[in-house]
Amino acid sequence: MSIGSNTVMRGAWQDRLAGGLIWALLGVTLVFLLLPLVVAVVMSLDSRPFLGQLPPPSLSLQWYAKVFTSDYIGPSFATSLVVALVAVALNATAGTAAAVAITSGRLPGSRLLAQLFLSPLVVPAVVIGFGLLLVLARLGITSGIGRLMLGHIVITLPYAIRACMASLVGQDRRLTEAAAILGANEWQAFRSVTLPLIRTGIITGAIFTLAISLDDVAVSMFLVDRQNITLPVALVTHMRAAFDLTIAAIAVMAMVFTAFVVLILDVTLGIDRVIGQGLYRSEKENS
Amino acid sequence: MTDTLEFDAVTKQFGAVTALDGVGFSVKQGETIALLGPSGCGKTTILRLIAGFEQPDAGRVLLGGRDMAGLRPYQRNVGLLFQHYALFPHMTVAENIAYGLRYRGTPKAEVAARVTEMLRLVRLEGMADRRPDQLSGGQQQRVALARAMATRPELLLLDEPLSALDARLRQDLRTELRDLLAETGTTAIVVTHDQEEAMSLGQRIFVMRAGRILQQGIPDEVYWQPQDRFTAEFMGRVNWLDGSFVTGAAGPVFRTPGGWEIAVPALPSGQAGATELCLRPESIEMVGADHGIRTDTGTMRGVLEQTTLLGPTRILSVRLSDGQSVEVAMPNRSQAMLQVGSFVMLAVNGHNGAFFGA
Ligand SMILES: Nc1ncnc2c1ncn2[C@@H]1O[C@H](COP(=O)(O)OP(=O)(O)OP(=O)(O)O)[C@@H](O)[C@H]1O
Ligand SMILES: [Mg+2]
Repeated sequence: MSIGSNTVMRGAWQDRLAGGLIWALLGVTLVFLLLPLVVAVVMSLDSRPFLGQLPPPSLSLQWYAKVFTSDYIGPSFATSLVVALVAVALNATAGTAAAVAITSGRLPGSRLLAQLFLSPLVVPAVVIGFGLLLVLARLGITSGIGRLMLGHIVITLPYAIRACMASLVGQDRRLTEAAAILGANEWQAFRSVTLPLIRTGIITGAIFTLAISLDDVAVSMFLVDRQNITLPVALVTHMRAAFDLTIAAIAVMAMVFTAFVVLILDVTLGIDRVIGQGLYRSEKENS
Repeated sequence: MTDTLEFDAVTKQFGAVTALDGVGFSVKQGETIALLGPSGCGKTTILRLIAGFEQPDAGRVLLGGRDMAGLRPYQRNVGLLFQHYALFPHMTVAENIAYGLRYRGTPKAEVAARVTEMLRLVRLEGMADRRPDQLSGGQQQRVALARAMATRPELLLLDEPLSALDARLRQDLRTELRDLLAETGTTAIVVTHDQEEAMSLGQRIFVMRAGRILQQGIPDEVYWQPQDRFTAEFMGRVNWLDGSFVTGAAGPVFRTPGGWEIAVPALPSGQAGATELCLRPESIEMVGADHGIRTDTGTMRGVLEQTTLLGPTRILSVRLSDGQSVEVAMPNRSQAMLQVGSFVMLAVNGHNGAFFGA
């Protein structure tokens, strides 16, 4: 896979230069991608109770122990999980229904909606968070958990709809018509034909929802209250208040968990299929 | 007995486009009719109205004497073969065929028996567990046919059933399809833009153009006695000869400006002033080289300008001595004497001609 094969005419030293540059670039990129991970792993094993120079003189599992003993991590993780799962549940149902309605073309303004959901989502998270806080206050929703649930649905629903739509637009409308003329009513046709064919889209949407929701700080910051704090917000707040490397331990645990999920997905569905079909197989196959 | 299908003065608009403009026809039980017409003339729209995917703006669709207005597709007992088959990609061949039975409360044992029977009918035994993407185009077509027929619909609709296949396969499957429809006594509507397909599959042909039915009849009638230019040309190669109809010594004849006379069965009465004779290329025969002797009724002379080989037949383009050009179809047997530029003698059978006004 060397660039050289394309530039044979230019002579050997140019080839070698180009090849070397490519490798150098790849190396630098890898280092920048991996270095933070390595640092996080090392820091999570640091035995010192203060931020010292790397590498640490000795290793310990104290921060991991703290993950399970400290009083704020358990509840905030539970909050995060509940909020994320509610968002996943709603996105997988209502989001799928919305995607089906939009792509059916029978909805007024569906072309505009389709454009909207398939184009990049550009509003800054801070703006969304602050705006949500104001609107929800107006609506009389003042409980933190309610705000978090609504807020996370707002920020993740577009991704879920988009992933689902991407798998729907490649689908032939005649398949549902074929089901109908063979005797299946609308719901039966959806269950037996549409749903199995857009399953990867729904799963992709759920993964994105989960990832975004569990990761979000910027929007959640505005929506939490004393009783309901999400894990990322709790970690950030704590780290600022007192020196604490629990965050590194959690980051490492999250990495391991993610790697595990990716592995499972790859074994069961094929990861390139999930990513490829779910997100990027958009309008080219629309015709 | 009521007709299986009655299409009663149906009009269908799509925005500004009038897809169907007062179309009426009926299909008798056990009959296969062919809807023939160019792209965009409204053929698929007719099928979609019968299936219930669209509702007519005016007129009625009756199936077995029942008005279908407001009935959803799954409430009608109609089978439909889509142009590109629309097989369910996530189901096996057997599951595809069984799909319709599943929603009609057919008992399990009977479903299995029917699937086996359909697989045998379309000669796909042993393919039950394949998925559509593991089949060739012709096999997919047969699965689609089996799926559409498995529920024994009152009426089977076939939308360009063979157009996605290559020429050779198309001919084979055409015969197969006709036999299958006859064997099962299925009432069917075949949509096509291929006149050969229409003539070989349809017991009656309906020629369509721009949302209207121009002519209907048995294939021979539509082929030999087209009622307008469009039908004449759509059904196959055709010659238009200018001239006039007169009563000659031995009866009515058509006389060309060059003086050739062609015997015709009768003077055109319905089409007073008809000045054109429409002849299929096979109504003209090349007799041989022209020796300049015979000038009887039914003969013409000209120069051979071009020959085109179409497999079993050869088309000769001949410039008549009065300047008109005609195409002659002859069986592709002898070619020794066919020399472009030579004078040839033609024998014309005017009894199969059709007349047209100026
Ligand atoms: N859903 C629709 N919306 C708008 N116009 C339509 C729709 N369906 C059909 N038409 C128009 O109605 C006319 C008839 O279409 P139809 O599909 O019946 O043609 P067809 O005879 O089946 O053509 P083909 O041989 O190309 O399949 C065409 O002008 C077509 O553009
Ligand atoms: Mg069509």
